[in-house]
Amino acid sequence: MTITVRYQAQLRQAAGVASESVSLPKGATVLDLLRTLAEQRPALTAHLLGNTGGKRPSLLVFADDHQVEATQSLNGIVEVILMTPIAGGLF
Amino acid sequence: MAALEDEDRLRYAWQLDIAGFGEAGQLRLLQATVLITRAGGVGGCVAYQLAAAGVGRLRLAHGGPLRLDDLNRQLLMSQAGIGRPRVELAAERLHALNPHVRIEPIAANASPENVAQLLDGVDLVVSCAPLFAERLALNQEAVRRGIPLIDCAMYELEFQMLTVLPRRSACLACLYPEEPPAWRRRFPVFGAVAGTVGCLGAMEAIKLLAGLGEPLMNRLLLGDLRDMSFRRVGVERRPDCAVCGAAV
Repeated sequence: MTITVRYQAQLRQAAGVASESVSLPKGATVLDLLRTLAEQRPALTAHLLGNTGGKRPSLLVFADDHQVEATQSLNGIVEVILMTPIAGGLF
Repeated sequence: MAALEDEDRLRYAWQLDIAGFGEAGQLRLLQATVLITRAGGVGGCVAYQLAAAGVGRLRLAHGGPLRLDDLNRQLLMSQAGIGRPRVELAAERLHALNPHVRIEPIAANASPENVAQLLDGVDLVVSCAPLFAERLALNQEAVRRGIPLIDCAMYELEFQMLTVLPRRSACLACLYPEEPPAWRRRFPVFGAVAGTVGCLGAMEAIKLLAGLGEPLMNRLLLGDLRDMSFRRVGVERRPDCAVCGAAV
């Protein structure tokens, strides 16, 4: 299956692209997607994955406009948005 | 206050005719107290719009003096004010716009130590803080007291906004169960981005106070001004949320 991944905030800079298409085996989960992306774009690894290889807790993942967890299957999902937390103004 | 005065009818004439608002909505604004944390690029815009709209009392919390590099986005400030406390400058500008709005300037940023005091007696919180510890402390206290909160954030040409209706919609801790890593003190942004999300936050505040329209509950508004895209993505309350979950 093919999924469109959109990068928001700092992730866009780390990825070097605003969006891309990613091919995954059927039944792949959010975590599978994150690991695939980290392999393809090493600059993303620290943003997507924690030290133990799991999803970084602060990473926000939205699949077809709904927030999802790392174990969520991506079957039937068209688009995934990945976003790091963003904040307000400066001191 | 049971009815508008003649000056109010003239000052707010352009908004009194809005369907579903009217004098009843204006009275709700005049009787409301709103806490705005940080009166910088985002919060300053929120405060300016709420003062213009006639919110009765604005409590502004922002520590520190104005610096030259604040002036690309902090529109309540001025070159002549560099070195002076930001919150004083903000209060002066707001008073000049609408002298009937009562301004409570507090020269401190929100923290776990002072959020209870900051939220005392307010009807609504608009959080425009850069630090997650600050935002999460405000969220926790707002949920505990049942006070609605609007959280505004920005980065470069992007912004996001979340409305928290305590125990009715996802709160900030549902979105961020763990405090994100330390945020950089400086990040890239245009003042126009701050103004955009500030105006959106102010409009959401007016809606909540006046009972107008549909609040942004269980939706995170994302905007990207690079391509002028706006979208709402769903967020849900977490049953295990440490702030608004079933066990709290």
